[in-house]
Amino acid sequence: MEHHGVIIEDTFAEAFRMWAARLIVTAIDETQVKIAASTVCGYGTSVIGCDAEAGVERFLRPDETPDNRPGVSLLFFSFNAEKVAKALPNRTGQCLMTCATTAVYDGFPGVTKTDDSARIPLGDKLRYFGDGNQKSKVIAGRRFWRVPVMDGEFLCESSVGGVKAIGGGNFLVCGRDQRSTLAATRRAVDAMAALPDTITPFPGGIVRSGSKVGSRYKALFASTNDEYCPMLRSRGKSKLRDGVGCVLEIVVNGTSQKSIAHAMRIGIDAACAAPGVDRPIAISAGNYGGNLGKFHFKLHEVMNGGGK
Amino acid sequence: MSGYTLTWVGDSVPRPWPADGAFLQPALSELDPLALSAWPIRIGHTTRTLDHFFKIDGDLAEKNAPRKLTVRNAPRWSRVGARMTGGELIIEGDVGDELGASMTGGLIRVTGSAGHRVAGPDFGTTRGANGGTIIVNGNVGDYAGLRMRRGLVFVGGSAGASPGFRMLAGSIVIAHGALDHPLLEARRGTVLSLEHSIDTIGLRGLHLLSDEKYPVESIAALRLLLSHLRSLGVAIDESVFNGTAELWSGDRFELGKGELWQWVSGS
Repeated sequence: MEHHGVIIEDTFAEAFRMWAARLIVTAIDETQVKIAASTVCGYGTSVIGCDAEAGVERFLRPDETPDNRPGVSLLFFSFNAEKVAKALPNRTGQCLMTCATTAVYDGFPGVTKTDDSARIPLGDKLRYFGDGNQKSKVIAGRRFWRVPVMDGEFLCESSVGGVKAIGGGNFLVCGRDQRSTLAATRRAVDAMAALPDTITPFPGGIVRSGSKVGSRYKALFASTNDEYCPMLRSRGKSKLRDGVGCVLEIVVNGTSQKSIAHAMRIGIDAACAAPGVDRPIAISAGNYGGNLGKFHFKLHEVMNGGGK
Repeated sequence: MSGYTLTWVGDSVPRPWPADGAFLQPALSELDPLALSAWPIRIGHTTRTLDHFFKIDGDLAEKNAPRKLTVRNAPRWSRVGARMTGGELIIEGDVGDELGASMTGGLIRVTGSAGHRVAGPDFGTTRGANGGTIIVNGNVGDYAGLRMRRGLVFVGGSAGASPGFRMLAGSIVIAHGALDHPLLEARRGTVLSLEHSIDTIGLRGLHLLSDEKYPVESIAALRLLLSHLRSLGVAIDESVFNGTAELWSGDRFELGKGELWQWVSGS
């Protein structure tokens, strides 16, 4: 299959079950919102080594936020609800409560505790920083904790919704060299940036160190994806087409298969539409033989509007 | 949202009339028209049906739809919406005392004014409202929010003596007028006054002490409260969001976690 003259490999991206929470963070101006977002999402690329995969879903206008201030919607993913519940208070306490003027709201306010969803304590844990001076306020049926801090008070929702989600949707942009491949991949990330319900958690949305499961070293359960490393082409296991000198991956986490498939389609389309020498040679995807994750996004189906 | 409208026609009916309005609940909109017409109202030792006093319009609320009941031109009964748990009750006109007494949920809108002890305790209990929202477009009487535990009261006009008296928690927003001894004996809770007045009685006294002035833009809880009111259709001027509010904390003789926010000025 070709798209804008770019080969779409007949393969699939393998994704797996995760749990997600959404935080709405507001602050006095857009500068503080961006600082808060970049800080709390820091070191949130892969659960291989981080407590959560985190990213900006989209920035919000004042009229879209609960307190009519500029804000941002953030998504956090981890393997299960318990791990999300451990990561969120840590990240919020260290990165948002410390960030001047911020307030934190639940992005899944209607979510209740069921088999497929959870309530994750957030302000209920952070309130103790108030040392007895904290106050709660119930507005529209939602409880908020108000923790006195040196710039006024830190407002934080008592708990946030956690939902079953999917992590590890991906595609590989196989280009000629670093500069052109990076340009095409950036186009893809930019096109995907505003899409709801998804994030691309890696630096700038782009991964250069795609991984395979396992390693020759016992301590590691993931190692470099040698089949897609151009400089290992002569070893005989390469899956790269002739002319490919650089591969960059975009990993997509989302709250549903539909949202991930849609994001992949938009991203692949943007990468394939890169002009001139930036246009990649092929688009592929990372999988583990189908044995690791139960969600398979077949590239041809995705590009034909399927994969939901 | 579907529901019934009850228009008072009782002036042409010989007394006795109902003694209070506690029977006016959004739950009535769950009844089919026949059952609603025949809904019994006890008056002393006698019983009358609802259609004896009201003209009934509208239709049965759909299953799982929010319950809504509109009441027009009824007498100024006390206890309207008492112990209400959900749905929406709209009163077109004035109401008497104990509006929304001990309510735990739902929304009451009053186009006119209300009497004393809005969101206070109902007869037989010491607890005021424990949830829900009351929006009164006009004035309210004394002790609004008496012993209130949770919930939100908005007063479009002015309030009588000591709003938030013995309040345990919750929020009262008062759009106009000077306050008279707000938050006396309150342990927690918020009273927000949206009109700057130097005539408020009880400030710089013993029970409330100033914690200085702050831009409203820096107080997320107030912005959240005001934004929520806006979402309920209350007109909150943008100058309120851009203004400054002075914080008074008290009652210092109690827990001291109550707060009076006195809006001071625009930007």
